[in-house]
Amino acid sequence: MIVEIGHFSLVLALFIAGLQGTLPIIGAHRNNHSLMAVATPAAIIQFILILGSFIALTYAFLVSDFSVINVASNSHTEKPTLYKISGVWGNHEGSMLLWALILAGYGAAIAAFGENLRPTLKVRILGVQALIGTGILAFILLTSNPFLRLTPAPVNGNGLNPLLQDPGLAFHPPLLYLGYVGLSLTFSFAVAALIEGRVDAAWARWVRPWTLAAWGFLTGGIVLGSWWAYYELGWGGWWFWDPVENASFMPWLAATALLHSAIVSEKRDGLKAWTIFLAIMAFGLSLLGTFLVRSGVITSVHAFASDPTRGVFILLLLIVTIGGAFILFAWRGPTLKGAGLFQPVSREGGLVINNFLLTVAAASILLGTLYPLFIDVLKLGKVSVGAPYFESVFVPMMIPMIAIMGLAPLLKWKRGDFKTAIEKLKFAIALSIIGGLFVWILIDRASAFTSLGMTISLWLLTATLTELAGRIKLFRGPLSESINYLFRQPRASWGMTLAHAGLAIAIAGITASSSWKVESIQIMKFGDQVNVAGYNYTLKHVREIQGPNYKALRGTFIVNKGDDINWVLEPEKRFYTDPVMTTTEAAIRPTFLGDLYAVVGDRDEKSGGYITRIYFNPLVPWMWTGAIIMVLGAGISLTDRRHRVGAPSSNKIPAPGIPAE
Amino acid sequence: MSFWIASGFVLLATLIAIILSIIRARANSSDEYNATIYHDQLNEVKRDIDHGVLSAEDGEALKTEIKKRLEKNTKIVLANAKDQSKQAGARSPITVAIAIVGIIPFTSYGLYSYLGSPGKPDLPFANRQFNPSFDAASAKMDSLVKKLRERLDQNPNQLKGWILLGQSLVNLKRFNAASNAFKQALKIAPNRAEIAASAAETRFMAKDGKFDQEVRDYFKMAQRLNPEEHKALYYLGLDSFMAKKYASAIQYWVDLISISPAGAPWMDNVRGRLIDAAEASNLKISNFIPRLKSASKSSKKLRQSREPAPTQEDINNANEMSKKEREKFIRSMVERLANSLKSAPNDLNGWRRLARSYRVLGEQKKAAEAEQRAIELEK
Repeated sequence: MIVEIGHFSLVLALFIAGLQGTLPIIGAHRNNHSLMAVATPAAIIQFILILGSFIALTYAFLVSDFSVINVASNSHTEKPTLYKISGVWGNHEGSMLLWALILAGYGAAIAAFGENLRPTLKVRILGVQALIGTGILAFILLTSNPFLRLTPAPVNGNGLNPLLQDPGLAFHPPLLYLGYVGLSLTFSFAVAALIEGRVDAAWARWVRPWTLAAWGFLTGGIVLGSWWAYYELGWGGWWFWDPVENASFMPWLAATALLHSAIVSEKRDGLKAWTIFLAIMAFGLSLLGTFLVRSGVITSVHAFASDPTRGVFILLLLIVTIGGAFILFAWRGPTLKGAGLFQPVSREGGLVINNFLLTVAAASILLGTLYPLFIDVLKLGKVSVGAPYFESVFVPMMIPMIAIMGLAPLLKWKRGDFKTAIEKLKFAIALSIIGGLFVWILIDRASAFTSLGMTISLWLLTATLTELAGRIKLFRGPLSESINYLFRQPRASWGMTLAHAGLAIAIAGITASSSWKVESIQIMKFGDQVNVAGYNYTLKHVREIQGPNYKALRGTFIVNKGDDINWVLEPEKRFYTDPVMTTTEAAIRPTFLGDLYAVVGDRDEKSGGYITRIYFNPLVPWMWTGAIIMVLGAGISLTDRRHRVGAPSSNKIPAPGIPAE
Repeated sequence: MSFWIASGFVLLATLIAIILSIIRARANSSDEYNATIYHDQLNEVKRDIDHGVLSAEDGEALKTEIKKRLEKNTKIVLANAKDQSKQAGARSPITVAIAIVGIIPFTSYGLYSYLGSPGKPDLPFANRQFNPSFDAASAKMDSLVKKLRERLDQNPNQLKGWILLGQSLVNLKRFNAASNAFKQALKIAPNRAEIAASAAETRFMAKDGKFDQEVRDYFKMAQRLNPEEHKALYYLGLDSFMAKKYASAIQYWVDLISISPAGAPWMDNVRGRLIDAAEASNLKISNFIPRLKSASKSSKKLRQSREPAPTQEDINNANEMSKKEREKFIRSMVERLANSLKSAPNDLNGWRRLARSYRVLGEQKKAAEAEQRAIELEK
């Protein structure tokens, strides 16, 4: 019965979303308060209903109710409990339900915490959010229903793809979706503003925390996915430019641009149309990502063509949502005139150039991702667009972007002074050039590119710290005063400092790990030694062990370097039976300068040894640390007091001259 | 029943919450939202000047700008207020409320009863009562397979065990696992062609009837080990046929027919396929000469010398034997059922099943007794 109640709740949620998507928008148009009043409770109820149905599905997975088709095809009684739960979103139907849940969750959050929004704006945002929800819920119920039943129920289920039975991947989708779907809210803000025909200071201020939250989750989700690929796929790579990754990266770039242009909209009353455009784009790209991943079009255009119901539905949803928004934008956009004028050399100017670079970068990734699909659809043969394209297009754009990223925070709003800024940054410039030369001459003379990467990273870090030092007047007054200022910095500016510094650290990690990776593949017998990047690896033994639902070969390496270091690395190769699959679990020992990374492979029948792959991945921990610092920056910025500036309560400020109803 | 109560409750709570909000709606048209932000921005500038981040001069310029926006905003707010007071006083909310109450229950129950299975109970694995037909058999099989699997994990060198596991898994239609079991068996006995063929066949099944390199490799291995491996010949032919290499397909099947005993169960199927291939390719089957002819005869002779072919009588005997055995088996089951009903005499379905079983065994009197008991219970 719980399962059926869950199903019923989901159906009911669809109709509540339908109400929420129509009545409040009509109400706001006609100034009818009764209709507008539907929005807030409907948003909360819709969320509760979908939550109920999500809990019902989770329950079905937990108790292994194989009369539910979705459970039968994706779970198994012997699966550990954690993966029974993560199995809920480890499949198409369940993950779409999670999508809908998060969508409704953001709506409910606006309903509950949006008292600082103008009522008409708030109900319009909720209305647009519910219209997206209606589309997604209809998609789930009609093409991807997780509550369909099966008679007779099979004795056991098919199990979850063992690759997904991993703590990293168990929480990757929820985080990523919190990011992806969070952008729906900025979209709703944008469309609501277009309907209202005004983008004002309040709009721009309140769209920011939501963008920031979505951006933080999206960053976290991407990093978690990348980290998973790093230790699970077993060859030390962490980013492959594959379409699924690009699908999450493009909205991230757009969201990053949006985050910055919204600052200009709030503080300088400018870039309004551009901000709206980015908000639509960011969500458009995340819907496109959902389409690419969920329609199966990536795996094979032909697989998609043979069962097109789902793909066509999402594609239509994408066209209606984004196309509709752009038509509205074309109609209303020209009226959104910004007031704040600015010179090319100014903080706005820097933000505009970087916005442009981020957007072009996103567009070029979009091109590289979609190009093979178009070629295939048009029957022009098969091409694959891989890392060489993306790297040669993306990286050159990032170099000027980061150069400006260091500079712009030191420019003034409206009319900046290039010379003064450079004057302030002379220390940063000198340090980064010296650092780059140091890398080139002393560490790696073969690659000028690597030293350029390091220069850029150092530049961003030192420039960011210079900006912070300027804010707290370091060396321009007594140290105690500077420390005092340091603690009184608004949290939003801490957010910026952390996010920019985090990126600098991550860039160092990205550059080093792509250039200086040491790799050693060999057959080792017990007792054999290999030296990789100064560390001695001894294969002690390889044993068969029994996991909860798999068997595994577990290799034991003893790692020595000098007398102090005596570590044990235990990589595994796991064999799952339901369904049959082999996975590798790399053993990783992070150090300050890089990761020690070992993988054990198959037994070599001829020699009786085992194939082992040992890597030294330099500065990879810096990459993760940098990314975590960025997410932390978003979190700290979210707690800034400016986001808690209350709504004008009608008790304190009487509404000017409005008769009560 | 409880489903309707629960779903009705969910629906009712939803409707009440929405209706109440419609009826209680109050105008709340304060439009000071931008002013709040501008005041906050002014404070921020003041703080920046105090902290020395902004020079007093720049700060004043910013302040003037923000104040200008604030003034402009106040004008808009006043204009809007006038506008709103004109429009306020819309139609009665009751109509909307009634429409919602009238429509939502119909649409939601309508769509749900189209998509869902109203009132269908949950079926948690833990309290599942496997009914005595198919489920029981396969549940039992499942647990047997599990036990066997555990034993083989501890003691992996039992050839027969792996083969049995493979066959049982085939019965459970878990072809992938079956294929792995056969592969294990093959590791122990790498010369047994029929095991290689089974490994290949199960993998083929697991792949939903598609050939991949591994399937081909195992079939080829089987054929190499025993050129007369009939499964290998059949499937290798099928692979060629699917790849439209008809000559190769015909050759495999001609070979297969030439070595098959006259009454082999696969003969009809192979003949049919052979004709398909011939028709598709316009090749004459008679042009293909069996490659295995001589070898097969010698092996047939060998086999005959060891064990004479069964006569018709033998086969009849075997059928008879198995019939007797079957009856014996049924009898023992019925006896067990009858015994259990002694201790639980109110089991209606048990009595019905017993009655049916006696009828099958031809014991009409006992059957009638059991039916009588069932009828009594039904009252």
